[in-house]
Amino acid sequence: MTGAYQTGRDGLQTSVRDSRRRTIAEPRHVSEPNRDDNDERGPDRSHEIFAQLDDEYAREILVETVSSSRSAHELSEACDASLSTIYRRAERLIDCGLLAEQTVVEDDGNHYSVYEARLDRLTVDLDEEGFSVTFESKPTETLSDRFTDMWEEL
Amino acid sequence: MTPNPAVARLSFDYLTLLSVTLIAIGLALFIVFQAYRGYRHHESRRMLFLALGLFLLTIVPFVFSIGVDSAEQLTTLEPRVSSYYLPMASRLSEVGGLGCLLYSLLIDAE
Repeated sequence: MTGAYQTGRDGLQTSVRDSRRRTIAEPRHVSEPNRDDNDERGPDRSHEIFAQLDDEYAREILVETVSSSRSAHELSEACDASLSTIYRRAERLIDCGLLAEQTVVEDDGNHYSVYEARLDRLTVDLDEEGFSVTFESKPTETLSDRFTDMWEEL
Repeated sequence: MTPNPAVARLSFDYLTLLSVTLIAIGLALFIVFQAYRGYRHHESRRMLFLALGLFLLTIVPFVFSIGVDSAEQLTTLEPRVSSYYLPMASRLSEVGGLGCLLYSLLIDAE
């Protein structure tokens, strides 16, 4: 599972999609889950990723969020699923590292989450140890986010 | 009329100094802006004081120095301005900036 996460490329869109003015705040530790402790969790994780990709709603969420981030409400309409279904699927996708959650703060102070696919390319390798799944992810952090992470860790 | 070589030399010095200072201001503004964006996006007070500290450490002294240099091109200033007031104002701004950086390091991250 090493080398599964590539963060070299810059392809982030944190653009404002609709007419409402809003600021997109990205959570600090969504990216690179299990980066260091994937030795023992490798098999479980690939199993979990297979299960996610087998799920029709989870796939639809990923497709809908691949080019721009969407709120749970928008996903609920686009996928024709209930909000709780969307939240449940989104949570599992985030746990797998396939999806990123960002918090949007509106001008009136309300907060809500938007989701953006992190999955770019998935590779399944078979050897005597079993299956191993690696995926390349799109970086979702901007320079200022990395700067904030760095400074706050001091 | 032959141009006065002393005047030509002076304005060449001034223009190179001005352009280097403008580059420095541009770079500093970029970094300060990234810190400020970090503050806006994460509502992080530490980033706010980092941005403020970098601003006082870099941009303010640059602006002071280029301001005094520009004024000297137009008029003659008291010698004390560049020998005392300018360094003093710059140092005070830097002390304030370092204070902000220290404060940013000492407060707890939210």
